[in-house]
Amino acid sequence: MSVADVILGSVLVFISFFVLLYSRKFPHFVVRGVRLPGPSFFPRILAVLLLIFAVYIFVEQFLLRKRKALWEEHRIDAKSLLNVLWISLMVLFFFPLASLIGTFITVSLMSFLLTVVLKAKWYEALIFSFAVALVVYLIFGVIFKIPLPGGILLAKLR
Amino acid sequence: MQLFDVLKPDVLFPLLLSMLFGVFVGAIPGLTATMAVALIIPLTYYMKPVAGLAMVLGASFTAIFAGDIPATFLRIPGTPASGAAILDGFELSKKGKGSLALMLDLFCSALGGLIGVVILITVSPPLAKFALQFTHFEYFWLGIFGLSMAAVLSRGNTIKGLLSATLGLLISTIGIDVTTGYPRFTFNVTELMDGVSFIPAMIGLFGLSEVLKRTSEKSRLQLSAVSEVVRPNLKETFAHIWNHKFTLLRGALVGTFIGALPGAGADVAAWVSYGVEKNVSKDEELGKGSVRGVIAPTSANNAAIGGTWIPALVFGLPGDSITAIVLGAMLMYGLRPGPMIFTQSRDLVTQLFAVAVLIQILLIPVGWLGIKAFSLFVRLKTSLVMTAVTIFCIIGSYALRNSVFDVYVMFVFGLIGYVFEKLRIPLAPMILGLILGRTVEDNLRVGLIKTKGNFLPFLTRPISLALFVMIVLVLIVPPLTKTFSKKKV
Repeated sequence: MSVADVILGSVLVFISFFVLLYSRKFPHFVVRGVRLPGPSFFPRILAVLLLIFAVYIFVEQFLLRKRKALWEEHRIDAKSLLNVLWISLMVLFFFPLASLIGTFITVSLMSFLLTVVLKAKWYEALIFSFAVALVVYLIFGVIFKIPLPGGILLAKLR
Repeated sequence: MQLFDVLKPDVLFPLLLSMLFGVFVGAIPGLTATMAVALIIPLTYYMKPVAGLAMVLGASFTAIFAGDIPATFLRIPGTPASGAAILDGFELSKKGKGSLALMLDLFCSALGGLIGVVILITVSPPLAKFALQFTHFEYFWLGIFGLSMAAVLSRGNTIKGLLSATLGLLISTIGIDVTTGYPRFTFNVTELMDGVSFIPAMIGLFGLSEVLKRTSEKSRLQLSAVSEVVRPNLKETFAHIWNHKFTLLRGALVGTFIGALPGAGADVAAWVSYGVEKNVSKDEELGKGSVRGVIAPTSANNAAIGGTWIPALVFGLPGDSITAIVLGAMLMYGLRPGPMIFTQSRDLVTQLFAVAVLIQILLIPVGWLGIKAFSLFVRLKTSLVMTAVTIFCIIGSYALRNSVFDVYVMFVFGLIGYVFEKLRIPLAPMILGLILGRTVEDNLRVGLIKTKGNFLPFLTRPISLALFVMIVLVLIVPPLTKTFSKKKV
């Protein structure tokens, strides 16, 4: 039995019931006394379809005893998981940090940290992170004039 | 004249840059042509549509070609579309004929691409006239047909493909309901009122998820340097192309046809073309270093790109994940893909066709540069490439609307893509569901409103019925064939 598929099936059941229950509060669409397909019509069809997929997955796993250890084939070690965590943190905290210290420094800093975490030599990381920051600044800031955060702290220093 | 506008620097320069970028991304194993396009879209926000779309076309054609370079020298396909090119390309490389294989790759990609584009130019306008007969009923079935094809043809099992498409459709329902103005699944988040933005979602699904996948794998991308110095022999290359002209033509035709099927892309086209060549030519050397084994898949995968644009332009139906992104970008430029684009934006369509032809000509020098520069590309470490991709994913998602919320959307879709990859759930149907969701829902509901809730007209109009039968066949025939062939064994 594939644990991952069972979890997938359970998630589908959860999404399906959530959509069915949540869409109950959507208003009806009535024109001249005739009830027509309203805002809940399509999501409910999809929720039922998801429920059918979930049932299929459960039947496949428990009744047909399909032994497909998909997730298990790609078991992730702690080190790899840490890499994923690093990238996630980088994405989530990029703009909060950029609004403080500016985009250029944030790109340089985050690129440097990530390349070092991903096992590059520190001097390679230093040159590379500066180059990436420069390219980002030139393309998005100079050529396309996108208002990238300049940083509150830097603004105060100026 | 509008046609020659494509030769102006504001189109030509971005096009050349995108082609170089396409070579870079395509030649690095693990980075796909779809990813190249997803990453290039943010750069096109502030360009005129023809320049933006030229960049997308340029990146996709060159990335598909460049994927054959590591396939030939290292037995690692640069993009999934180069999977079939490995078989004979690498065998030729082992025999010391790597240069010949790459030159054949280059010229057959350009010629195959050109044939695909010519078919696109000739077939699209009459098909668009036919598409004008379509009403809500036909467009509903057409959307479902596209999703079914995507689910069936994508890797993994069909059920998971359909599941991916359904989830994409469900996500497309987030936002204000067009008919009633009621906000659905927005949870009072203002940014969700317009629905989930396509571009950050695509950057997440194809860009960030790839970064997460590769950095969580133990194996590294660090590759060995090219063992053979590339020395082109044009005379030998052209002699082989001339001797195998029908193989090239067959590959290009098969590639265009497969590409035009919604959901099938360049990778499927290359494998089908290889299979067709095996059956037609009966060449026993195929798989052992045959020139045919290089010409057939490489001409097919580039021809398929032209093919994928046929349903995208004519029906607004993505032929593959790349055109799915392109449709999102076209909506962003204020264009509405579909039959009317041929009358409302005739100049743009003509310029696009001209760009597509121009790319095939430019592919030769750019591709040659790519081959030469390959030894440099492969020396780049995963850590550097993945860091750059992550930064471009973040800034690219933000740049669309200067919205940090879009960066978080990209992140969520990156995680979804990562989990889907682990569970072997195909990503392309989800994107198709997300893009086609509004079309499918609106046409279904408007159709039902017109008929006062009666579903029968969806099945009684001739084109509707034909599309319905096609969907049933698409979903039923493959499992039946599988069961039948198992019983036979």
